[in-house]
Amino acid sequence: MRYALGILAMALLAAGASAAAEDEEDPDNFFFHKPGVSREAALADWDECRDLASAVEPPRGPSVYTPNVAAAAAAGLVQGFIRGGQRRHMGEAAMRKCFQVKGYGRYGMTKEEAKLLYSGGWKTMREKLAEKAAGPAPSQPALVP
Amino acid sequence: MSGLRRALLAIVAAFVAVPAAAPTMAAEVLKLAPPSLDPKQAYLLVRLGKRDEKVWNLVSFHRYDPKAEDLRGKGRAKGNPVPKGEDKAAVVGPKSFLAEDGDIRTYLVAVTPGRWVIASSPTTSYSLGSYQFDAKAGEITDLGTFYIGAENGSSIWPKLAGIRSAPDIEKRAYTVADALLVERAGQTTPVPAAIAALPRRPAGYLPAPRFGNHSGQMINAVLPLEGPASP
Repeated sequence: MRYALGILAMALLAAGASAAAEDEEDPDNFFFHKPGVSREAALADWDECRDLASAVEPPRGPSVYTPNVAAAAAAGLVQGFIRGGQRRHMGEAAMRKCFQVKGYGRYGMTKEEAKLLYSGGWKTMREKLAEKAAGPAPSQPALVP
Repeated sequence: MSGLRRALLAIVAAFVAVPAAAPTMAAEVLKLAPPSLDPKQAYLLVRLGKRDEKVWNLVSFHRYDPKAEDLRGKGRAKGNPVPKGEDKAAVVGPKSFLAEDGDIRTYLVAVTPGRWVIASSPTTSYSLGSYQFDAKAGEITDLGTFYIGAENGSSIWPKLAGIRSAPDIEKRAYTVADALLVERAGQTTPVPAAIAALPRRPAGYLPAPRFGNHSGQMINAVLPLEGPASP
């Protein structure tokens, strides 16, 4: 479950994340960069931020009683959808806050670049993310954290 | 209205209305000033500012393991649980206050002596950087004044009102983290008359670099301390 949430948090940053797509002002895809950070430090930061952000849980609503079985099933389904969406948004916001506090900037990238960066298993992905974070300074201006 | 529609509407309404879960109450928030202090107990004195125009705040504290850099009994400090019978956490506010002065309420909480950390607000875990302190037996540890507000410009406190989040984050209230500012206690910090004569010293704050997000809330770091330097 925890692993799945971590992957979900990563997916938020990947191309096509619906949360970002809904926000016209904010780019769909982005990465983090910090001038002067070592690859090892960036790896540790990614591990910590992923751990903290994947732990977020949306607030729980009270359970709704209905004697109708179909209604109860539908209610559960809708509740699941709502909580899923909230968790996604909270996970992305928590990840961004984590990197902001650690002194990273957030930069936009193309869908194609994002597909390459956010691909493979976590072990592969974290290496690429750390290299990007510690790599050459981006030429574009930083986004609002 | 069909049962199905009623159930769906109730669910949507519930998600709009219910705030994030707070840790379970453990320590005792005192409703009345004690005539004397129990030498086996520690006492936390907390002044807590209003969240916004209408809502009073709350803040939670937790026992801390400074070596493992985590909350005792959890995550990296799982092997260092709080013994049975001792307080693990303390939730302060919004009721049972000793004094109310304008937009600030003052609380006194009896807790198990030991190392504590500022853990969370109603919506945010300060996992990314907080402050720890020792609560000593037989005296009041004055934690100063806490100001907490959402990072979306809604705070009534000028120092917090200017802290904003990205527009896409502010659009969804449940993704906005709380800012927390601690103003250390000094000579001019007001103390309720009923406890003014009891043994009291300002908290000796130390940075608490990190702890896990065990409450599943949004995350943030406490702002740099303000007020007189820690003793």
